[in-house]
Amino acid sequence: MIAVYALVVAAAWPPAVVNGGHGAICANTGAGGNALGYGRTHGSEQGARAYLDQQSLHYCSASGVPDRDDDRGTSAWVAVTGPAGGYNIIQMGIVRCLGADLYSYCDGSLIRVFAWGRQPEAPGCAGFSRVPPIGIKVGTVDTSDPPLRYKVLHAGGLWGGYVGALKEAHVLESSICWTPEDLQYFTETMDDGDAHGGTDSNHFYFAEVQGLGTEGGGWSTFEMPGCVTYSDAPDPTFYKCSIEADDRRNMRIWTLDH
Amino acid sequence: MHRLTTFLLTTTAAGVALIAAVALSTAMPRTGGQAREAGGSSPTRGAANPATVLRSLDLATDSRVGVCPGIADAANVLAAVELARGADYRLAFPKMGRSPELETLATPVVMVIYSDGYPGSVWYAPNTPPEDREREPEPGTVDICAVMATAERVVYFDVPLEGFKVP
Repeated sequence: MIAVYALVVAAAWPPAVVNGGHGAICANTGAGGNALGYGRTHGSEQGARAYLDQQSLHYCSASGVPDRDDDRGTSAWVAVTGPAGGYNIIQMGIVRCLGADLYSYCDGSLIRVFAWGRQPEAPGCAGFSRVPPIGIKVGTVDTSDPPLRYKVLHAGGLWGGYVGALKEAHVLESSICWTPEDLQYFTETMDDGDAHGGTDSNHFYFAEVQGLGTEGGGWSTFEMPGCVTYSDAPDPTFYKCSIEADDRRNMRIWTLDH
Repeated sequence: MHRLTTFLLTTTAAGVALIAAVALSTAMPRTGGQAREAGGSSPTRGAANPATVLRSLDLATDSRVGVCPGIADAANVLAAVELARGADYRLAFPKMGRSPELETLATPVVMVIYSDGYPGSVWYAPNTPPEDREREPEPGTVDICAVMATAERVVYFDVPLEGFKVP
């Protein structure tokens, strides 16, 4: 498996380049942030995983955006989600953000974050408290690392967030009252003007996406037919998502400077 | 004062209680050096939460609150308290929804209580409709940033303030 993956990487991966301090303006108009990537509704999911590029996520300048223009945030995640989205998610990924009023960990560095949430309106969650997926920093990213496998997994009474074989954080299964239905592999922005993924010259990769349908079972590989157009998707003129034509388990996301 | 009055009217049936509570609120000391401005719901002050369950924290000196954003905003931070045992969260907030992640905690939990909404951002699920990404706290509720002994943080939205008393 690793050998195959290495061949994929060798064939398709550009050398990692640290992006930072770009003077570009991004046209993202999702006032509350938005997402780009792929999601699969399957009905019952017990885990999601994919290799994530460890390059620094692209940073746009915030010039010209209408609000919160000092705050910037971009991220990439593997996740299991519940009905109707919202807070019903367990996610593990990487984040780059600036603005301590957003999170105490938003200092501009690239970090690993685990997050989970629940909504009392979800079936099975009546009487529970409302928890938004705020996230906790579980480590820093070394941008010289090769792509690493990020994973959300239900096992042993816990929902864990993993990098490689190491469980970085977890939440009790009893805290997740909603039904895990979907797999999601996506980039997400915090608000206006933020970038998705990498740059035109250095795309951000998700590779070898997999799902786990049964707790304790085997991971299944599947092909992604195409990127998902979420309801608040960023302008496709500038925000790009592509599934590899020769291997539909791999996805690239990037933002054009303009 | 308008929102204070609204809260009290919804949580007490007797006019006498209203008058007493308003009088009490004018004498209520500030918690942790934070002055709460008009707006949001109002807690009452009383002996229902003994110090063994809940105690006030000094925002200026307690480093545990640092993982919660916006603590310098005195108009939004209603209080910072320490719950002696996480499992006792309903002694402090009797109307709070079920929270299994707190129920097994025998260790302290620090809570920063925001009267006008949690000031940080949320990583929504990607399939969240745009209209659901815009949020206003429910009337009569607060948001809470809870910091566990492990420094792990969980945020709770729309926690009913009814029954909470500033220690």
